[in-house]
Amino acid sequence: MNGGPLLFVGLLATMAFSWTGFILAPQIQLGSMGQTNTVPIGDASPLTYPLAQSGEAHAGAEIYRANGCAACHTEMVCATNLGTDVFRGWGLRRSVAEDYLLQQPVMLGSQRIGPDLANFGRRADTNGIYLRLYDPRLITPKSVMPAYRFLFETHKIGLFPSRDAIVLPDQDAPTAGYEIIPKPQARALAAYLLNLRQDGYLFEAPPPPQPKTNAVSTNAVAAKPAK
Amino acid sequence: MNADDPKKIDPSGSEPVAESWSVPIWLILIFGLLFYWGQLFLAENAGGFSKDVYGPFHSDDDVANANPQDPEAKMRAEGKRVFDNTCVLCHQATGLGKEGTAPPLAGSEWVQAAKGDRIARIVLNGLTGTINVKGQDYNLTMLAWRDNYNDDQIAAVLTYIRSQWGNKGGPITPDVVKSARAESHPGPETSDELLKIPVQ
Repeated sequence: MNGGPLLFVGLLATMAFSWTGFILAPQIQLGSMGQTNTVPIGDASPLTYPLAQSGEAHAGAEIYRANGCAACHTEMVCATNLGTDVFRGWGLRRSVAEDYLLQQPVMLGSQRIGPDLANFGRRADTNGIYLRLYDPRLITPKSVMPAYRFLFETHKIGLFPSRDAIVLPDQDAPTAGYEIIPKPQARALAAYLLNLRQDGYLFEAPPPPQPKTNAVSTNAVAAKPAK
Repeated sequence: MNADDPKKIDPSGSEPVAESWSVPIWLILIFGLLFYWGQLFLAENAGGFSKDVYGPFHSDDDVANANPQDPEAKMRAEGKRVFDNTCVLCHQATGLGKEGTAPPLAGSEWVQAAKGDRIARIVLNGLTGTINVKGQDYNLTMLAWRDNYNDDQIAAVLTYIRSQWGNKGGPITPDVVKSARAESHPGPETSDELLKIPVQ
């Protein structure tokens, strides 16, 4: 083989080119990003964004990761010019880099077999999350999501029923005298899911234009039928 | 590898070598066109590689305009531009003017009057003769800026000087400047003439 050095230089150039594009350029562009302030609507005051998540939510991220949730769920809202995510209520705005500042690793996901979870914390409640984990068909009859029953345990009710027992519909309720309690992993996962919210408007993702207040009030008065 | 080796593949005894071929010109042209198209695409859609530009926006200005606007802040920014180009020579960046000649704008009762009719006329038509500001006389002929700046720009600079250096005066609308401009005035204003215009 007589082309060795040339081949080596070619390979090196290819690697250097992709390293520049995928690592160096994003680092120059976003490397200095830090917590920032939200763009408030109206007279509200700006808030720090994003906020660090609680320890339990952080543990829940590991449960989310270990169970491969990201295989079917994304955590990214598409821009309004690229998809219908915002119109179907998956978020107030598109996702931007700032949203993932404090996440390690970022579990964007790639396939949407299930719904996007970027703002799941905005539309979920704790018992609803437990029901979906215990048996997804309870809430969405045609769901293809696997049941994660190993995140729960069945207890015999002691002196008093537990406050943490999940509330199941009658046909799925456990045998009388027993109750179903979420394990710590399920609680951590629920804390993580409740923390998923990208609801701060930012400079790079500004709030949608607000209607002028006087125009609205004029319409409201005009719309009243005169008797 | 010696010639008697039974495992020898090439009967001629030489190793395979890479030959060199020149790249056909049409391939270079196609890649050139693709590269050009890629550059055009980036120029249109990369948002200047700014970290603040995400789709559907195209540039930093797009993003800034999509954010909630404070119209008065925009006016003050334009006013600062006009002030720094023109007024600053006599009235100074501190707004304190020059002793005995250019009167101060900072803390001036003329600048902070409830209505902007007097200062709008000063900027439009200029001023000659003595003017009393904060109990002190100043005498310097100020030029007329009627033909140099439009109503919006003069309103902006008035709004700017009324908000700077601790001054407390509200914004001046371009309408005030427009009506002052409509009364044509031969030559510069004088202090006595201006004092007849009500500003309360």
